[in-house]
Amino acid sequence: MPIDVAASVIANRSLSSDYNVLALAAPAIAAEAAPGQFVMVKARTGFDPLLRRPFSVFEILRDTRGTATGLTLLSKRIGMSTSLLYDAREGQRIDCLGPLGRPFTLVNPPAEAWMVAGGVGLAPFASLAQALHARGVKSTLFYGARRAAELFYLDFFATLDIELVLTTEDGSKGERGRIVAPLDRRLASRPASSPVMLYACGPDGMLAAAARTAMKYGRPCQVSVERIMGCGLGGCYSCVVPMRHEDGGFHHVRSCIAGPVLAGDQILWDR
Amino acid sequence: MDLSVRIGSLTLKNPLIAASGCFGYGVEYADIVDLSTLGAVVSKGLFLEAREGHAAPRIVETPAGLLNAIGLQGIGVRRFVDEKLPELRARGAVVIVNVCGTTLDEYVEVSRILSGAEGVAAIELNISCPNIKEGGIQFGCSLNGTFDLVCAVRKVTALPVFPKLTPNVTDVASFARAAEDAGADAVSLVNTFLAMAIDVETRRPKISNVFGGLSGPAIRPIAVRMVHECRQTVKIPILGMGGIADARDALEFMIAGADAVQVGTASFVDPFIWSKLTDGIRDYMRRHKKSEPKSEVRSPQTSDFPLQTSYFRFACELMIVLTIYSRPGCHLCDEMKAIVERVARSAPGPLAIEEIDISTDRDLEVRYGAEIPVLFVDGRKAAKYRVGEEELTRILRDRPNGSRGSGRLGG
Ligand SMILES: Cc1cc2nc3c(=O)[nH]c(=O)nc-3n(C[C@H](O)[C@H](O)[C@H](O)COP(=O)(O)O)c2cc1C
Repeated sequence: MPIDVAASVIANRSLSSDYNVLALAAPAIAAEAAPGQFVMVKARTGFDPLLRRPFSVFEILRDTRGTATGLTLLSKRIGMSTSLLYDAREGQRIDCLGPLGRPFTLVNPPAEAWMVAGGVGLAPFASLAQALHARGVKSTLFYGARRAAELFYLDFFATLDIELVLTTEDGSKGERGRIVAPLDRRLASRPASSPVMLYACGPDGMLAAAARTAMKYGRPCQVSVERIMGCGLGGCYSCVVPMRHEDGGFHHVRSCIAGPVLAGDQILWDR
Repeated sequence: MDLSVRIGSLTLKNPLIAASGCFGYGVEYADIVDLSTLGAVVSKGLFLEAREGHAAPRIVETPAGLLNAIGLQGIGVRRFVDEKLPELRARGAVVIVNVCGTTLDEYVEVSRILSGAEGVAAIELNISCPNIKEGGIQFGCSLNGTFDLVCAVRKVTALPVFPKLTPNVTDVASFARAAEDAGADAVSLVNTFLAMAIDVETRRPKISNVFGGLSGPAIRPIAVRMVHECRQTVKIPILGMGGIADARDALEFMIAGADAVQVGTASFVDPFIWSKLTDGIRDYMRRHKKSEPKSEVRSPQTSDFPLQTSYFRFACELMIVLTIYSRPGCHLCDEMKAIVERVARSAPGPLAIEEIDISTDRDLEVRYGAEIPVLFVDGRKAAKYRVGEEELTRILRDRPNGSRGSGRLGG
């Protein structure tokens, strides 16, 4: 059940001129949160901004005994709310409502997990990687960004024994181009008898490409979509995604309660 | 402290209602909000059949506001009755169903289906959605359309009927009157304001439908004005809304003339707002020592119609408020009351008489115990022990800011 806390900022680490990782003291939310779930955050009180914004839970912070103490958010500065989060100071209070939405469905060995991230779409994968590691699932992170300086947390994933496949648009690190290219090659060379679950998060274009590539090779793909949300609780019908309907048509599902994790092959990407 | 209000034949536990389209079907919130603690829950707008609504993006934030064009996505009235009503009933929710239609017949049919369903407290007729081309607004923007639709629905249901008015008209009060004349039990207002927002970089509208409806704190002053205009025009109860974000905002609507209020956008920001609102209203009533809503506010112009929320009074220049501090069994008090009521009947504008029994309050007893009856006009002491008819007439005429505000646009 979601709760609302005025969480104090434990730390705010700037990763670049746009990206930051904000650590919030929200143990009750962190203790309940599963990989893929999100929180609704109000960067400051008052009407400017008016609404909360959704953020994937990035990491779950734990003390030495393993008890959840807080969570982090990976944020990219694009508008007012993310600017406020970028500039947030230690000790500042931030309203945080969660955990919300449906999490990723985890796999067990011998299935492998392939995470596909584009830019700030890395957000749900830190906690997912931790959970997969704990289950002993062999995992790979396909991670694309514009340039080398925008590939973050590589050591974090490496420490969890996760193989990294990197691309940058300018070729400054890893392969030059989009992340779906190496994903396609890897899928092509994988025997059909070896199970693999895909997890994707990033801009819609990338998600559609990842989902289609997965379908091409008959692999399941869970995508975490990002839509403008009003409430995060199913109240406003703002964050809908068109999904295939059994009658052959489509149905708008609310990504806040039916998602944000949805089956990639059920989304009508062209609608 | 009792916060209950009466909306026609319906008694609500408190005046706080979740607005249509801002609370899903109610069931979405059942685990985080005790639905039985709300005055009522209004469902998302429902047609006869399911609808998928507009493509995303459906909302965008604007200064202190929210622009939406959802397009009335919904599951259709029958699925609502079968799948949602039972749970709402089980949770003890008072359910008002927001009814939509593309034709008059559809409104009538949806209303008829709801009349036969168990657990519907009232029908809110959505004749004011600005976001779909066909239906709704064509009734809400025509006086005859409003009248005919309300009449038609009135005929097929015994449930209370609350037309929900659009603010996108010049004279909203005339629509409230049309609704009242047609037999509406109350009116809800306002729905959202037709609006638009453009991304200057891409030169494209920010929501897929181009136009949308504006809600949130940005619209509140206009909504308050409209509620007040309707209060001066109709006698039926008013469900006021538009930008309410805290208890003071809710009180503002009630003072302007709303009998209950609805909250939409602000509940997105704070889904736990409801208990804060009730606490805030209780606190206000305590501070204003009106915990026992005994004294009745009367407006002679509207033939002694007692405002239901008699513990809220509208104390600005638009209405003269006469307050008599008295005690039961006090002879002079009865005399003064009789004179005040007589003068009030010939007063030129809206006027409210309020009687406060000082024996219910120690502070008042100390302050006025030796002087009762004491008469206050607009919060200023005007007389004690007795007042003559002519004297009171003169007091009312000569009071500071004497000329009643016209209620029209100021400078
Ligand atoms: C996302 C959204 C959806 C809405 N859907 C409906 C609806 O289905 N039927 C209706 O009568 N009003 C609908 N409204 C209008 C609200 O019920 C309310 O009249 C308006 O938002 C003003 O109140 P507020 O400022 O508290 O939100 C909707 C408003 C919003 C923001």
